[in-house]
Amino acid sequence: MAFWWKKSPKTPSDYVRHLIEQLDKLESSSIGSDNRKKAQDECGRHIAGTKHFLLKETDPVPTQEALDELYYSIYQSDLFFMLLHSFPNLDFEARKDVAMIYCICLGRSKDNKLPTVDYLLAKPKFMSTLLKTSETCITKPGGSDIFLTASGMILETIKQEQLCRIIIRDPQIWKYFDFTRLGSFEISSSSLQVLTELFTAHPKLVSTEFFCNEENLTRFIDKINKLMAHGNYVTKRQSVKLLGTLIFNRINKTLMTTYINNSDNVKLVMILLSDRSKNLQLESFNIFKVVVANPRKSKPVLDVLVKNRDKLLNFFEQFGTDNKDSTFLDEKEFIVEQIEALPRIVAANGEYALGTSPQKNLVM
Amino acid sequence: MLSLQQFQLLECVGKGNFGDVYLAHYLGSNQEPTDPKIPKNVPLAIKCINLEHSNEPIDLLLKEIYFLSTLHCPYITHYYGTFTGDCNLYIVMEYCSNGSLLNLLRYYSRLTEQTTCFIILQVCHALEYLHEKRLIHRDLKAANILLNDDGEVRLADLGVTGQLKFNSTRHGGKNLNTFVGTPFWMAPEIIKNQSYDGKCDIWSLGITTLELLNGKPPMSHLDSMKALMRIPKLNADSILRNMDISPLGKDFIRSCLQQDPNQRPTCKQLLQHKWLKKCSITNIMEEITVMKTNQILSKEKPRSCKPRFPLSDKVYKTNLPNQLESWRFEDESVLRFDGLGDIPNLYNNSNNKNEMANSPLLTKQQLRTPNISTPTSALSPTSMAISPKTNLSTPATESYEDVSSSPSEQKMKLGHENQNIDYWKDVFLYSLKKVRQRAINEPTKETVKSLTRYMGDLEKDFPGLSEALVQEISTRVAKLKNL
Repeated sequence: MAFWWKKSPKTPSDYVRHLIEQLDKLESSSIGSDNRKKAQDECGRHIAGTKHFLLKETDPVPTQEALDELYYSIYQSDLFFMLLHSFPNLDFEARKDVAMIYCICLGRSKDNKLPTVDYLLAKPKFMSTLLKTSETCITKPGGSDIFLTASGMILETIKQEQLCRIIIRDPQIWKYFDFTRLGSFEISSSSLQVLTELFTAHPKLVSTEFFCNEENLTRFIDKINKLMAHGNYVTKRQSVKLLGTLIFNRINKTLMTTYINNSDNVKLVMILLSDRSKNLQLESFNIFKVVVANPRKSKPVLDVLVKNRDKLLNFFEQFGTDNKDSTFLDEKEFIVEQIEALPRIVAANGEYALGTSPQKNLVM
Repeated sequence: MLSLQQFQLLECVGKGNFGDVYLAHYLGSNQEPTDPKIPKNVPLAIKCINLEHSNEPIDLLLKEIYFLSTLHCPYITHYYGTFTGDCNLYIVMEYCSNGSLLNLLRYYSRLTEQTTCFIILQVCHALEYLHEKRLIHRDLKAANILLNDDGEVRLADLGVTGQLKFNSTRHGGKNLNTFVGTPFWMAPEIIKNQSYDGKCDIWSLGITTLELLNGKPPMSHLDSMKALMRIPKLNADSILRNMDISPLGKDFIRSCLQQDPNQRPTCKQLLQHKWLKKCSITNIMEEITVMKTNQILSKEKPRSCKPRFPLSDKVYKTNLPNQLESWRFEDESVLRFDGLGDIPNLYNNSNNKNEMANSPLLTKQQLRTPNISTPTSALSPTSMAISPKTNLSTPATESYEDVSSSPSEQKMKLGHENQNIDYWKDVFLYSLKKVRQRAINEPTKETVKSLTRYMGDLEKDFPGLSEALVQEISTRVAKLKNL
């Protein structure tokens, strides 16, 4: 669409102004009207034009001054707010162009600074608007691709640590746990992707500013347990993997100790450990091994393990037998040793009890 | 939400990199407004990926779905939606009844310049759309170009598609460096492990053009490693010299196959190339019809194949539990009920019931305050006297009376068990339990518990040990008392 720029030479700030005019028209026109369709098309054209300009795909290639002017007017006019506001009303390609413009702006660097990041830091409300945009479209027909496009913008935002800090403080993030159990597959899987990025992109930030809060910690465990227990196959695998990654990172010590010392969590992990899916077994093993290796197990957790000592030993005989990975085999051997060292169940007559008839067994 | 029930899966029509492709129909029941619009009575292709057996990380597979769902291009296979079932991922897409271009090549050996031109023109449109989105296909070849019912071209298999970063100006915006693709079609910059951009698709487009005209890509007689070594030295002119095509066609291919990616034209520029501009045919239905008719005549079996992972191979079978092991997670409050705190099943259940029935007070006491270790403490203040050395409360007669409060039963029990006392369970363990109940603090409790545990081990290793001990103790106590 480069020709369009050639035909209408304007100053860069004019582009933003014209776009805003069309966005206003789009919002004020009634649904289904010709005017609305026209405004939608116009918005699409202006958005695409702005994108080409930013990507320097116009002829002639814009000067650095012209680009700076365009960025400046984008910030000045709070264009992102307006684009987000009209996001669901734009057409399919325009929405993706908006996402691309946003990403280009986010990555803009000038004099060793990230002007867009600084701009957004001064407008923290934008983050919550962005997080809410996904929700508004979840029930709309064709909501999947709106959600995906918005998620793409969120993922890009999370990469910036300072912006990620604003996002982890936003209560809206809890809804992303619920989104993973709603709506289409695209919505569910991309919500989980957002959560994964959010909690793993900046480990230190998340550890010191999110998990340090006990309320967050409890709520997170509750939410992720729900995903691990009730999600679809993909959700289960991805959420167990996320939890495993978090627990395994030393920086999240509080999360780890809190998680592995609660017997309800351990029960859930054991249920997943014995799931019919081998992949799920392996992912859960990564959490279970931390539970077993913990030298200071809480009483309830120890009890759960002791009660299932023989069942666990029995289970591990068949577990991962086709896995040749030496790290895995070492870990498994260690875990089996630890379980063997647990107080065992003996039968009254002095023989090993196999746990088949608890009535006759004594737990020691 | 979409689900398998809404589709009728027919035969398996192909095996892709990541899964089996089935011909299917949408039955369209229970459609919610948020469901994607899927045409009924139109054949669909459902790609079924068995996630349990796929070595590909799920994230990577999801990437293809995200790409597909954000692409609306008439020259790229249309995506309708995705759903899961068992361990499978089902991707619903447009069905291309005429298969890939390989099908055409198998029949014709090589395509005419006009047919090739017609196909490449549409592929070029598809690539232009992708490149506009800063996406790179990275695996362009005849096998990934499909023909639908009307003989229109559809670019397929975005499995290794990559997204260019938007801002990075490093390497002039070429910011991908993953080694992916299929050797014979791979651009030299990828082979040389340099950073690359959309221009690598242009190279593959040139190779694909040669593939269609000659029936195979250059150097296909070599093994793929050798071919990889030679591609960075590939000279388009030497290949084109012996080919019988128009100078425009040669120019098109030559421009695509320039070693320097910067010299290669963009899709936009290629679409302006005279070779494509002069494309004179508007469809290739005739070629397709001839091929199909002959296939029917030669009784060649239609493209039906055996799926790699039959759909009946389910991980979660309906008649089996989802877990391999049924763990013992009895509710701990129930366990505490027997007054044993966190050591469960120390006594068999019938014993417990007996006790409960006999000592309702004790039960109540412990339910309310499970931490109070001495059941009798509340009953008789005197019994709270503590022997400082042992940290154990003195035995309260009440607690023993509880057990024997039903004398007839006790007598009967003793009567018939006289010959057959389980010294470990009925005497030793029982006594240890009582001692534990008298423990007034946690450490003492723990000590008794470990003693119990230790004794249990010893008894297991030396059956009869407790019997001997009990006999010796009772003999000794009786003797001392008599004295």
